[in-house]
Amino acid sequence: MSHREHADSIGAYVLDALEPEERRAFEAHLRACPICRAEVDSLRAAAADLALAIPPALPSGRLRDRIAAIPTVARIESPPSPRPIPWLVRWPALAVAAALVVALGGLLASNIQMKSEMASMKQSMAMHQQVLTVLADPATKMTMLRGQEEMGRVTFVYNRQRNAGVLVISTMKTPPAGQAYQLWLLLPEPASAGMFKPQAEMHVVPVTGNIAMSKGIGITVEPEQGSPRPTSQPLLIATW
Amino acid sequence: MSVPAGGNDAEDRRFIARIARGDGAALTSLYDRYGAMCYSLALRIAHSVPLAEDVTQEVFLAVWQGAGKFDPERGTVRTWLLAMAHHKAVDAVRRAEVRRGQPADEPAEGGDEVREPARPGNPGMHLGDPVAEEAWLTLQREAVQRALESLAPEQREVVTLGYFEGMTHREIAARTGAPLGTIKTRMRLALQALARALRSVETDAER
Ligand SMILES: [Zn+2]
Repeated sequence: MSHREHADSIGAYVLDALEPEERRAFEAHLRACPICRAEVDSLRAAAADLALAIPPALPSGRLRDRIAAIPTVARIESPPSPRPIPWLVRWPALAVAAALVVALGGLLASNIQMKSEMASMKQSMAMHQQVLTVLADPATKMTMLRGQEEMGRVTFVYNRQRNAGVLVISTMKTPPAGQAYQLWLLLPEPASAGMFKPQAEMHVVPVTGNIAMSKGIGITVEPEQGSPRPTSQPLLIATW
Repeated sequence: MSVPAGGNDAEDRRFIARIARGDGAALTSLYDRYGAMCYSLALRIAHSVPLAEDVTQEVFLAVWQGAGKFDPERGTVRTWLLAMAHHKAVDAVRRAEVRRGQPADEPAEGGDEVREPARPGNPGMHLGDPVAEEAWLTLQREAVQRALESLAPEQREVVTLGYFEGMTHREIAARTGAPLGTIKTRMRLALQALARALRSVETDAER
């Protein structure tokens, strides 16, 4: 095709209105043709101004959090992968959790001969495995728990096909003395899915129970020994 | 354009230079300036909050990874960002359509699916004073709308369907009944006319 024929596509190219093959062909020409490049640049500036005609929408604060996390996330992912792993990019909190898991793995390896630590290590390893298995599966989903969000930022990573889930606790206020947080899976009756006390650092809590059949997850404050049924309204909850 | 502030490209280029050196705070600053604008554009095209958020994140990830390759000779930072946002939004919608076999009206699966109402905001501009920012944006919006209205109706149609609806020239040909090939030519002429109209707005304001 000649420059003349290619130049006919400039407007459609700038509007992202070419079919994929046409786009590739035009871009190949563009690399070789300074005349077309100059016109693309000029028309692109005009097209970009069209965005100003759009009634502005305000993005949520969580989008800003995701953008602010890009430098951290990109560092965790680089150097080998040329394309970011989508869920890592999409969920910076998870990326950090995954990094922690990796760090945990390193610690475990260095301590492997220390028999006295075997018990706790086995437990950590099980958690580590569970997190990695859940993370690796494309059917894995994430949801942020909502409600009294000033109490904490908690994300549930779950895979109903595998009946597996972990809670990523980014921040959580310390519960009153003698009390702890209890997790509930929303089955026809709320079923206890474990207890936890928040730590200073971001951490993950494995969730046990019938995740496959559940309709959601909630967190309540309960006495340290746990309750058979929730004794208060959930502070944070997510449903699916 | 017509009013000096906002599109302060020299300042934007300094942000890009800092990002290229690995300065994460500069990325957030650039987002504070243009994030809402990119997001509004993506939302207009994708009609889905999660998709628009993903697109905006992809744009700023691309900025983070590609700031060193930004070429100021080819346009302003704002144009670069908005062109990426448009391209990625159109791509995301087309991928979603292929996957679903229908237009992507529903938010993508997974996670946070709460739709948030679009509230008016101040995409990008930092005049320091909210009233001045709002006024500046309104002026800009009116200038662009006037420029759009100055186009011949068939030119305005292809720009509107292509830019705001993210349709391909084939889809537009099918929709409007115009012969294939005509739309491409019309798009080019329309953007050339738009560029001229926007330039005349600029000169008017500078007088
Ligand atoms: Zn050419």
